Amino acid sequence: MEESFDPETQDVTHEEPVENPEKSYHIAFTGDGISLFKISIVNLILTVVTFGLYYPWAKATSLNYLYSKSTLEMDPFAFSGTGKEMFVGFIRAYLILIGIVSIYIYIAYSGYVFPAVLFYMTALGLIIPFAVHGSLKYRSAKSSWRGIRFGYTGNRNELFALFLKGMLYTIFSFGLYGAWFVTNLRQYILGHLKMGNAEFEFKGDGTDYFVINFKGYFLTIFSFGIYSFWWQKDRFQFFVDHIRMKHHEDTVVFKSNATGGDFFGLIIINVLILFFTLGLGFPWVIIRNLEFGCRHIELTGNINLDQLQQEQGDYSDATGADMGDLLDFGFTF
Amino acid sequence: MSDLFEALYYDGMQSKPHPVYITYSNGNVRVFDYQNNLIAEQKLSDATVSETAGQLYIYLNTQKTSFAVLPPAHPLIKILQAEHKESDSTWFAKLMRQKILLLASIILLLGVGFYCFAIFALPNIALKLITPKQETKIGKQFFDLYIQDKSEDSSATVYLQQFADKMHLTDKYQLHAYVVYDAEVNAFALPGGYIIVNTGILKKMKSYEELAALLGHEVTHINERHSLRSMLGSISTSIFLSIITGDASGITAFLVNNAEQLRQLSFSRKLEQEADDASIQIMIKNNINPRGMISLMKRLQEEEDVKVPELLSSHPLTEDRIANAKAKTAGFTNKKFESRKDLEVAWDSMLK
Repeated sequence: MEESFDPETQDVTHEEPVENPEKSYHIAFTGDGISLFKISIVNLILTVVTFGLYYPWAKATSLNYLYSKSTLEMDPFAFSGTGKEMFVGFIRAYLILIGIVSIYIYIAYSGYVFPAVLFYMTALGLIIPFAVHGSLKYRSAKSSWRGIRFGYTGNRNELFALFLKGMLYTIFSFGLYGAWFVTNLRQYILGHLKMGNAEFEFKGDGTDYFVINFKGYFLTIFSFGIYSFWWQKDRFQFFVDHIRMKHHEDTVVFKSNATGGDFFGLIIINVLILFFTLGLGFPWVIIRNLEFGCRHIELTGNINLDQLQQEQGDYSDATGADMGDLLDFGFTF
Repeated sequence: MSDLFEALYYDGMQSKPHPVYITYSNGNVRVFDYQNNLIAEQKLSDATVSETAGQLYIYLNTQKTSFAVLPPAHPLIKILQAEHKESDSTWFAKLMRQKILLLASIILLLGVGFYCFAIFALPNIALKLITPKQETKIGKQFFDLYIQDKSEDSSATVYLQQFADKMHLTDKYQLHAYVVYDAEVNAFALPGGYIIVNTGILKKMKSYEELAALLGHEVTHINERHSLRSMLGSISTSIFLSIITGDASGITAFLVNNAEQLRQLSFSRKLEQEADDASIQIMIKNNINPRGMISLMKRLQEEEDVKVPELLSSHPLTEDRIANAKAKTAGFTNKKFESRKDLEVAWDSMLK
């Protein structure tokens, strides 16, 4: 039966169920240090002469570059966020932070140093989940592959509750709950991340992550730091191996094949690059990290990536993303 | 009709590509399906063009959901890339066309320029904008923070204040002089009229003329706004450094931490000499033997022989300062100064 092409009404579930064959997917990062170095220099010049106002545009150009060099099945990801959007978000985020810092300074200068610190920590603690939420919404909506947008469908209040519970438990357990906090957060975030009509999930368990960190912490001390590379490997593996992508009945499984030795090579050489270039080699370190990530994550499964449908809407408020930038916390999908 | 080229097109609805024909003429990219229907169109200058693994991606909308892909070595790639590059007139694109060496030189030049601006020009501009009243407010805040973990010798403070008042040291600011318990041989001024004298330096001094020289010196730092200038310079430098290193906490740390940092600020040799010279003039005006400056310097020098105290480490070499004080007071070597009884009384009370 021949159907006229109209993707809006085309419903994949009406198609004949076809068992997709198991396959492995190709992911790669093909960026090079010299290009990123040049982009960074130009960005730096423009940021300096505009007294920092160019920063959002600088961010957009470097993200554009990094996305365009990250490929899945030989096709690149695309970042469609603009400097203008991020500039507006930047100003808003900056005003909020200036407000908080001013109140903090005011209280501190009135002689109440402890209440001032308490206020500052609480305000930041409350802002972080909102920033993470906004950041996830913006970044995912502006990320696409083969024209299909990612999307984050999490609820702000749910994330806030998760954060509040996680932070309180972590404080009262003297940090021990941190492993469950991080895992729950990851579960929630990835569980609400979509790529078109395909869904992600994270099946990691906090107890496993706790054991990894417990073991890693003590073995690192006993081995005078040498074990830290294997600890790093375990953590990477924990985060990667528990990710699944689902599309109807089909699944893609993520798997790390990085070894402790691989991490050793990556980190030692990165440190040497930064040391001997006095930090100028930073772009090469970014490139190496991304290349490492792509090289050591294997994707296998039976999702037919040609069947993804556009389902996630656009979202252009970058306040949360910029707040995250200002507070300098990083997260990755 | 311009040439038709085969390409793939993604429509932003699904991830499966459509085989299409693509044309480029008069600055416009057009996409046709195999039935020759126009399905997308965009000016090349409004499109985003990027190359990945030899393939050219022409994003036709700002959301980058609708785009055409040309396979490696496609005849249209070079033409589109060249024309798109030319049409891109943003500063970013213009700079990206330059050689790395040139860009690196620009960075270096900017760095030096901004450093000079932050260290020299910016503090001077701020200095003009801040009124003495605001300056006093700033000084008080730093003083309050400083005094928090110090203990004040309150009776000595009363006499020091009397001593200072009798010398009529300043018309611009209300002077607040304090004595704090601290064995370090040191005294310093905060912006807006605050002078802090340690018990350590009081005990070293042998006459009220030396104290007069010290107060004259410190009050000059206040009157000439040296402290404020130095503080602004320091803030300006830390802002500059935090921009360079991308670490905003530097500024907050400076503002919030404590006045200790301010106390440690150093003045240039030129400013120190200026303060010495002005102090000598103040003493003469007050009918105090200006050679008190020389003996004060000698006290400090004695201390220097033991260790290098902070007051001196930032000051010009004491030898030079003594020589300078001697030269500036040469005319008064044989001049008799009547004893200032009022100051002597305050001085004696202070030491009790």
